[in-house]
Amino acid sequence: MNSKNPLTPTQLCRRHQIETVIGGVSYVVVLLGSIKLIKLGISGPARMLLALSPMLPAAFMIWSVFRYVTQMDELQRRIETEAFAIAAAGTAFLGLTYTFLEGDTGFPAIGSWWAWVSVAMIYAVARLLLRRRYR
Amino acid sequence: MKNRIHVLRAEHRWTQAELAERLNVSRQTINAIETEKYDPSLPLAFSIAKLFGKPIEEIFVFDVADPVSTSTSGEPS
Repeated sequence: MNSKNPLTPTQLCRRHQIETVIGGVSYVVVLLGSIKLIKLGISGPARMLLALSPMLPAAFMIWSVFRYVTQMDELQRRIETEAFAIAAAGTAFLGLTYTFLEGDTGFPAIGSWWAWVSVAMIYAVARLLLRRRYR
Repeated sequence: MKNRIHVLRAEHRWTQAELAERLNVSRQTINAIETEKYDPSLPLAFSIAKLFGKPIEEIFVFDVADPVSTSTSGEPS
């Protein structure tokens, strides 16, 4: 239940979807712009600021997710929280597994970016299964 | 926890979506509560009771052996 929020669950979801699209498009635009400017040869602190600039729209998307989760319907929040917990545990498990492979069997080192991919993929599957459980 | 929401909703001739709208929750939440796959929070349970104009214990029935009552019911021998 969410008596403090005047928006219905459907309206909340729609607002979050719109914010996600705005954040995603902004991220791509800022990222491409920053790459272009960095390639022009800008150096010093400006280069660092340019490299970090895509984090602004990323921060907006994180804020949007946080607001959505805190305002959503209690069952939906439970599903999201459980899905995220499974994603975090699954990623920790996969990360540790790969660390052993890297150290002992010579698997190539991979970027930390893959942790994000793992979280996103496990979260999506877990969310789908959890939604089915409560259907 | 068992509940009588399905019966009460039928008495009021509300759909799950209509009840969900009145409680500002999703239809999936109402369905999950009615099918007893999900127990609502205390605030939501009170809101449901208030909406139907009934005491909360007339809507929700705790069907598992109550550890509080079983532990306090026994007299010392």
